Amino acid sequence: MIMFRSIKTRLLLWLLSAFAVIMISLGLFLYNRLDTIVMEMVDQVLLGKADLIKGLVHSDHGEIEFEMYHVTIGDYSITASGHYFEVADTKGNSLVKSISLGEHTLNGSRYPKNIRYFMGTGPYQEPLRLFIEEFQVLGETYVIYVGEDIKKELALLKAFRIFLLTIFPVAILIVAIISMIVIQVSLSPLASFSRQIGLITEKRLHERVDSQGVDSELKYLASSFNETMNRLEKAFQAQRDFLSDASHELRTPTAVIKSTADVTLRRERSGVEYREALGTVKDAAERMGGLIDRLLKLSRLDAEQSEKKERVNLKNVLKTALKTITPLAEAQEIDMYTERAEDVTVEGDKDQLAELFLSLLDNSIKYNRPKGSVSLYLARFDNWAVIKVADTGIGITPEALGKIFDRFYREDTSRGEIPGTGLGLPIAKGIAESHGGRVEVESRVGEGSTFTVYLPLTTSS
Amino acid sequence: MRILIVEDEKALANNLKRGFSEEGYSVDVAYDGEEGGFMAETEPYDLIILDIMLPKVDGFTILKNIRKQGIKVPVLMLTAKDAVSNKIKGLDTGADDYVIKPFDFDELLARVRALLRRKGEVKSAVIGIDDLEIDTAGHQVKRGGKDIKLSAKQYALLEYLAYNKGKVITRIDISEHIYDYDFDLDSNIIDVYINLLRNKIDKGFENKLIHTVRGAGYILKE
Repeated sequence: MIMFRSIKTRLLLWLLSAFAVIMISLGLFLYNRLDTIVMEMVDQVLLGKADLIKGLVHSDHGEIEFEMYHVTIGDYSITASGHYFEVADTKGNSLVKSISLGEHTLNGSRYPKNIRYFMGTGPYQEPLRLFIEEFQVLGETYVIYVGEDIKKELALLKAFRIFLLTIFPVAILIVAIISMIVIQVSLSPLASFSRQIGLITEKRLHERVDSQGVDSELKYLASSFNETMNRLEKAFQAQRDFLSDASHELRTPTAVIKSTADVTLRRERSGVEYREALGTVKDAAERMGGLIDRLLKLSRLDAEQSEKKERVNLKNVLKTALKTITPLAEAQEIDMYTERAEDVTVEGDKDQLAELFLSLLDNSIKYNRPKGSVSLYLARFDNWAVIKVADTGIGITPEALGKIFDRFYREDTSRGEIPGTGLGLPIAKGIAESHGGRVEVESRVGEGSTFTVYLPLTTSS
Repeated sequence: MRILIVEDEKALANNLKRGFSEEGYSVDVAYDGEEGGFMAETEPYDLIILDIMLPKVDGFTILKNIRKQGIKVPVLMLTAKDAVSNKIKGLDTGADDYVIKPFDFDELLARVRALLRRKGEVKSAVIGIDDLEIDTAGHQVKRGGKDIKLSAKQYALLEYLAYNKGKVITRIDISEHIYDYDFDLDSNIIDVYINLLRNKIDKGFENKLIHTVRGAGYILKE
């Protein structure tokens, strides 16, 4: 039913059906009224005539007499004129009848006696309206029949019916045409609006529809469309920046590999030199591999919510992460101590949460001072699992604090001195967010930084 | 020819140092912007290869500073940033060329040679003085159509004199442009190299090309 998916068609159908219902009701009502009025007029005539004829029945010296001659002239004297009367007694004996009836009678089984007004077929097959009434004269009961041919009246009603049936489709057609024009005109702002939207392509994402120039009904649509476009454009820009940053980060190890090969292949080398060159290539390739892994991880975190949902005991995860990182901490003589570790369970992906903890612990050691310390804290607070990792390291400048979760951002002082890809914290943030949580950071230069992770508790715990 | 490489990616910087050294250039390396900027401002390099993203001080700032001090050394920017806006910014700040990582080492060498030629009168890769021909791309030297075999240092010395043909070159110039940061100035060594070079270039030829300018230095001319 594709055509009903169009606003125009639906509007038109609604309008036409409403109009048809009104037209039919009006037509039926008018026809009914006319029918009643016409029949009332006929009945009025019949009643008048019946009264007149009844008045002609009178008693003379105890005998019932009919003085019919007054009315036997005129219409009643012409056979099959369409004007008839008859008076009978209750036994069904016809006492007197109009000449127009000829051989026929109204006083028969064809016509019931208990209905005042009756519609039937006359003696000459004409449509007949009949008035039937019992009346008494001097204690005797008689029945009077007065009939009128209503051929003309029925013709009038028929003409009116035909008129209604003719005017109905014409009116519908006129209304349909007018409606279509009105709909077209009133929907034209929508058409121009959609033309404006159609001009926006991925290359022209900065374009917006004019939310001021449109009709008030479309203003809301236009402004919410523009807001959506703003968000989309921002997301597009972020993706573009990410791609350009990623390619930039991949260029450096590629350049190392390429230049090592170029320089080494320029002349014959000793085995030691070849081994050295291959070692450099291997390191660079490993760095690239690690970078690509992290990029993929980030793009997966971007694309979907964490799908794996299992109950994860954060205390155990933290313990494992701590065990993994201990050799690194010992190498730099950094004291790792657990301030508090409650049994806290959240729902999520265990591997991802382990990586989140490892990433924060790794940072707290890498950016620490030699013989510094890292304190760990895991507890329940309201509906949150709270994990704090506090180091005694170099700290983060206030300018850098807002950027450390940006992809590939690395503080200038750390660039070249501390190895890293600039993706650890963005991944940590991505993992926390895919679990419905967040990461916060506080820092003082020279004193240290504290990273706090908030993860929503499972409803059952 | 003496080159400074400012590059924080150590493996890449070391590759470049090795490659350029093997081509007879004397090479100094700085791994961060602060050190690189200092070296660029205090040592008379013939060319600087400069990365943009550097720890401490970025490449654009280094370039701006050395140009502000009137140092006209050719600068080749070597960077992973491929945005056209970065290229334009680099060239507008005073860079002479812009190479994007990863690059082809032979192409980098050719671009460096082109920048070194641009400084003097020399326009093509082959420098000719009388019947002496020096092919700076292939490092081949011929005199009167005959090949002359030179060691890397001898070639570097000859090339430096050839790029500056017709100009007097002092012993200090030679020590600064042929040797790197760690060289201890001892003019005797330079005299020894000049004599070795004379033996190979001028010996047996009527027209001597390497001349001694008393109290000043040496000159290569017809």
